[in-house]
Amino acid sequence: MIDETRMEANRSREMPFPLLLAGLAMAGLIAAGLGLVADRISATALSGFLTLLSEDRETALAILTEVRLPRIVLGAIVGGTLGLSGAALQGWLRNPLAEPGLIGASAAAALGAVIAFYFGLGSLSQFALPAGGVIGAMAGLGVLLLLVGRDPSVLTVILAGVAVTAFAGALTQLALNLAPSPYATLEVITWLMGSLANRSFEHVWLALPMTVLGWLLLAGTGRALDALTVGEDAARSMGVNLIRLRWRIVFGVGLSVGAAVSVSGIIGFVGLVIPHLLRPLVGYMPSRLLPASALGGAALILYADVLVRYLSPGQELKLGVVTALIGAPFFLLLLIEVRRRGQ
Amino acid sequence: MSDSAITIRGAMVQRGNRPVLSDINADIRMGELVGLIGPNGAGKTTLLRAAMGLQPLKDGSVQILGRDLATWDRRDLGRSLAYMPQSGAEAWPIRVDRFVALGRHPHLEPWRRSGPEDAAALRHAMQAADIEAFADRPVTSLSGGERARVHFARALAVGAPILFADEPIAGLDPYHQLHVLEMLRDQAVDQGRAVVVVLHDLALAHRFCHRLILIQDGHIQAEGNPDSVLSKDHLAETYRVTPADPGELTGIVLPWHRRAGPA
Repeated sequence: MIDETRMEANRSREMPFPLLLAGLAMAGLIAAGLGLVADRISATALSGFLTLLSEDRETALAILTEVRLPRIVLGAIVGGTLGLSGAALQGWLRNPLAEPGLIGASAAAALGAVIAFYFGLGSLSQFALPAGGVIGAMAGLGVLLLLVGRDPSVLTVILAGVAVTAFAGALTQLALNLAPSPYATLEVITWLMGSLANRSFEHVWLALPMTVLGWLLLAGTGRALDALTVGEDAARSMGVNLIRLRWRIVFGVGLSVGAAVSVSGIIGFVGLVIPHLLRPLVGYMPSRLLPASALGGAALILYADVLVRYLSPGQELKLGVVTALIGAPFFLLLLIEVRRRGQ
Repeated sequence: MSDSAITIRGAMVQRGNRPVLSDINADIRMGELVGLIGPNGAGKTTLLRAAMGLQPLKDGSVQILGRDLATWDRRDLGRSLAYMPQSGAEAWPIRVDRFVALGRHPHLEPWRRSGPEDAAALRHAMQAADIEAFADRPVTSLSGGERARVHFARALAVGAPILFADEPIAGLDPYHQLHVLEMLRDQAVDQGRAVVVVLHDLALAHRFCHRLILIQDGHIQAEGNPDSVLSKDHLAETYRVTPADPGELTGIVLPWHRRAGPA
């Protein structure tokens, strides 16, 4: 009977797919509009900005296009990447607890960026930090693939991801431990918290090519992920190439998450929460969850970023801290639910 | 056209250094239901997977529809054979009709929607498996017997001439055991497909299969019509059991039939 009622709930929660995508896109656009109009959302801030617009049009437009617009664009890129990667990983591993951080991409990207910073490469070029992040993510995935070898099973991948995360985390700590100046340590720790503040279009241009390439790789996995619903052998019997699928997912996630982390720091749990919330709305189809989660992740990050600015006018809360504060309890609830259902 | 569906010659499978299958020879023709039987760990599932090309061979060859497995394009092969796994491993609670439609995967062009042919195959598969009544329910909410029929329909939707099933009736009640085996037999007899099924229930294997292949310790112990394969000697040797004398049996209801009509 309980099953019956839950089933009814599931059925009624599914939405027409185009409508859902349009709704998520609209939600994202509204958040982007909010982020663009005012730094802090209040009548005074808004009127202050309008005054500036009439008195010093050039400065006002510069604030819009060079300060707020890149922040929004970057937020959409990072959020979309995290949502899409989370949905792809969950579909691939057939595990609602999967997350981009799970396969070690986030931690390895952070390590790469920290190394670039540690050796003072940042003074050579401002692109050194993001470039280090991408290289780190790819290196982390290389180690992952070595550890996994020819065995594409889910458990091996998860354990290898845990190992990569732990090792990258330890090396990051080591770099911080040995850092020559406390300011350097502080700067790295601040960056690791994850934020979209003080980013420019240079960050956008640096992250965009890699992330788009990653998105394209992930976008083509939908049908194979659907087929995996039946089981690995049944999917293979229908011609799904699991090895190729694994490479696509790992490189798609590595490229997009590596580039995203390198410009925003670690923003956790978006890739966990968004696919989980949207899954009933797309009728649990992994292929449909991909675009929905990309749009949903972008919208969530944009709203969270608006919220962060609104809530903390003085010392700005870091976006990554806020997502972790909300995401970690969510993860625990999800874990309890999954365990209860498993029994 | 030859009616040979699967030809296995000298097939050998190793796991590490241990041979899991050795010197397997088998011929399976279109229109017959062949049962793979044998004790636990004998290599039945491995043989099934090897015949589908999911398990690399150390030695020997497998031919599907007269063509060596190695020369098949994976997608074409996906249209030529279908696999019905044991139910219970469905990853997500997706709707039954969508689950069955996943069987059209080898027919779909990338980035293209499914067409009228796919819809017709889906309808036909759901009809044959008698699951139209719960087409819009989540697959995970179904009973074991219903789920097994959904997996059967998903495999049928592939529209392949060869059908494999790995213990399709494990964990089902007698009614559904009979139902699933009747459906598999219909596919062989009425539709002319080749159906290979791994079974543990020897009585049902004897009753439904045209031929049986008895496997023990990775090799074929006996092969042929059910009467000859399920001889007293084979049962004693392979399964370490002896069939009961009719006189010993008390209160056992055998054989049974499915009752027609709603449950």
